[in-house]
Amino acid sequence: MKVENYKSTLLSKKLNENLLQLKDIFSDCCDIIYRKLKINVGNTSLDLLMVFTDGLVDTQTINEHIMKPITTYQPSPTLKTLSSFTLDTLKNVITINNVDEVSNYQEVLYAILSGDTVLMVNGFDIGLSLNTKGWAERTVEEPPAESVIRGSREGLTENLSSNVGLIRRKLKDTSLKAKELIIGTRTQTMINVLYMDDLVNKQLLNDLINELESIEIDGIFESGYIEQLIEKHPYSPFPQVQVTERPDKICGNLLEGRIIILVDGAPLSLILPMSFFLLFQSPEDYNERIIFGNLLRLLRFLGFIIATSFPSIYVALISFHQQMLPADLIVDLSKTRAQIPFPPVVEALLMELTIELLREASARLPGTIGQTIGIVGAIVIGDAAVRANIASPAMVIVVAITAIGSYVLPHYSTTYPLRFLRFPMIFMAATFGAFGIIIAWAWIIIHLCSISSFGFPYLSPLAPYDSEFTKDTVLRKPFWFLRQRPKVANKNNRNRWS
Amino acid sequence: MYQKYTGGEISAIQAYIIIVSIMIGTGILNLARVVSEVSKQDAWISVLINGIFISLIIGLITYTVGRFPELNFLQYCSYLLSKPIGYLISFAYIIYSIAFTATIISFLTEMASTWLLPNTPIFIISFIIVITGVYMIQHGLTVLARYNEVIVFLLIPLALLIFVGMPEVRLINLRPVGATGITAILKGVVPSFYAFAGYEVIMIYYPYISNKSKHITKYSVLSILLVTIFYTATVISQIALYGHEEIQHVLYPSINYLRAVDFPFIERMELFFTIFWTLTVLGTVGLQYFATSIVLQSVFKNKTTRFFTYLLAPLVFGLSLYPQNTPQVADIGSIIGNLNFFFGILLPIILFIMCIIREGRRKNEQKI
Repeated sequence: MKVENYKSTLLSKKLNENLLQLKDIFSDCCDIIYRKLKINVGNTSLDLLMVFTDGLVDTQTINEHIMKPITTYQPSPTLKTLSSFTLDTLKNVITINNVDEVSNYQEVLYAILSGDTVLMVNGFDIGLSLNTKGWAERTVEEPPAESVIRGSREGLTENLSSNVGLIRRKLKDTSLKAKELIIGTRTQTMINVLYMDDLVNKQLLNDLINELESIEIDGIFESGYIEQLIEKHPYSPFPQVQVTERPDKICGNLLEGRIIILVDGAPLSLILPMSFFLLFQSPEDYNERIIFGNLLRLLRFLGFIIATSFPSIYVALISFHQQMLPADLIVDLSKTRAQIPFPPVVEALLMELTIELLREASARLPGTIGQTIGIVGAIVIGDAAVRANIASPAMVIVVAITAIGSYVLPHYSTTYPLRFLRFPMIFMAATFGAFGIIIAWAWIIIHLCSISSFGFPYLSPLAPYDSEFTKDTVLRKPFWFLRQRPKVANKNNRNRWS
Repeated sequence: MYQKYTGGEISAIQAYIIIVSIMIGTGILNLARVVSEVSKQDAWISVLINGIFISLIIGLITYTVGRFPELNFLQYCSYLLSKPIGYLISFAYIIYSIAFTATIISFLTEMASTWLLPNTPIFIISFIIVITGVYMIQHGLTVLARYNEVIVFLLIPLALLIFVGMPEVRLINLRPVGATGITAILKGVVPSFYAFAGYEVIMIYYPYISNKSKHITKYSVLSILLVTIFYTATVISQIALYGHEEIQHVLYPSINYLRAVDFPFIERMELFFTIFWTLTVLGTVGLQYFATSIVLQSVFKNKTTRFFTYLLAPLVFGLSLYPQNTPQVADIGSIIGNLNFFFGILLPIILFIMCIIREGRRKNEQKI
């Protein structure tokens, strides 16, 4: 049964009733541990019940800081009768930092299932929830999908509270808020919405929180679930939420007035709202010196154009517009193509499909095998295809450059639109040549103009045009020109330098 | 800012871009030829005069329409010229606009067919263009304005391509300046109407500008002057390159002269011109097409324009297939240019005069 169904069931004053109720709820749950204790009160003793889930708790904490103080407790001379014993007395005995009072079964069950220990006392209808969370987890490592040369090596982990800690450590400001939500009727996943109280657009924040609270899905396992549930254009290939696992990127975006969603158990956080130009931005652009940071950004735009259009341009040139190339080049190209039995489009689709298969295979396999597959695929298949006259050498070069070009975007999951827009582009190029590519680009531009990310146009600040466009989009100006926050932020607090 | 631009509104900047974008379209291709047919080596003076004249007209338009910020085209025409005439003008505009849209599509189709896809049937190219137009405008004015905003940056490479012929230019072709006489120069203004046509859509789009300020008149005039400079530079460089006699044998001087120039790696630069140009003209198609939908919507008082957008698609597609060959397209273009004389020049002047009369009358009434 869902935990929230127990909201109206209150704790009983009798310990045995509570024990029976819990055993009934957790029937056939061998990992729930019930431990009875006694505490000395004057001449008599009082019954206590401790309930926790094996595997979610740190047993050493329970032994050292709950059991040991309670069993060795010597009551002070003033505490002679049971009636003078209060929960505060018990709280003083236990050496646990975070203690909450729980009164209904929803709270009790949620505490037990999330790794806290619930301590109930005979004669009280209020129990104590003690923070004893402790389970096997990954330490902070370098983010694998988003590494930079110059910049911090920290990446988010699966632990929500340590993730918030990583962010808080970089941003020592009281207006950094972390609002807690629980989503998922059965998974009861903890979600934190992080924002800067005085910088965030309040209307956007309220809308977002309302939308998050209205989610009624049974399970949330990754931030991707949240992303798909709150985005407005699910059938668009372009992401409307930015994904990152870098605390420094999160902090930078918080200072621009954006909102972060952290999901417990997911090392990837969501940043919103986003715009098209954020696809190309990496913390490295800011960490590196201005000239080289900007050159890197331009390289990424070049990579974007190559990854989407290069094979289609090649197909269009070879099948329709040979006259556009210099005569020497076209002679060489046609010499190598003379032996190939396929038309250029089949050749291109075949090679592109192969490289997508290789990429998917090497991403799924463990590190060293993945590399081997990559080498086998790239060198052996490419070389063999050329020798067997299945693909021309030029095609192999085109496919290889395209594959490299699609890797330049800072985050791996944003490379999907590039990888899959390529195929319709090739198809259009094969049917209508350069005209097909132009039309396909017109469609892409129209689509980009028509979508928005949480009320902010996707192509802003280019369309609708804004003077922000000259500051930090395609190129980044030096820091002393970026004294204003983007329009995403609260309009009353846009000054950065003060 | 949040959700400000999601409705059917455009910003003032987008309005200026709309003016620039709708004017620079198909007309630029043969502008130098058709004008120099009449005013010979002084064609550029004709173009310049027309541009300055039209910038005055757009001043009149924004002044007149600015009096009625809440009314749409049909409503202020009805208010100023009585209701039946308002409806008549709206219907006439609808027909003109459909014909104009179809002509632009024919131009684009002919171009794509000649330079890029010689073997593909015309109707397929035309069909793709119409589909792109419908896709562009089905989401409303906001998306259309944003598309043009993105595309307007492509005018920079397009403008640069004008100057690639500079090393081969012979300025003697432009001399003697003004020798054709004032009448010939003024007559040369007429064929340039088609190239300048389109700015009158601001009469339809003006009510949708979200932040109307006093500067709209100023910047609209500046937009027209920008286009005028662009056109004048084009005509000067092309006449200087070919000479006014030789240019008569060139169908599309703006493209053909790129052939005259050698580039280090790319053999045929004109294809690059076509690529940039096609994206720009698609924006023009969308703007003219959507103007029709808006006027139809206001006549039939529908809630959205989408219904008319879909309704017009087969009509526009059919009409765009009517011209049989390239010269015919150019001929129809000049007819449209002459029709533009009514909608782009006569109508704004009439509206302006009526507006002045009405205001004078109202002031008199207030005095009494």
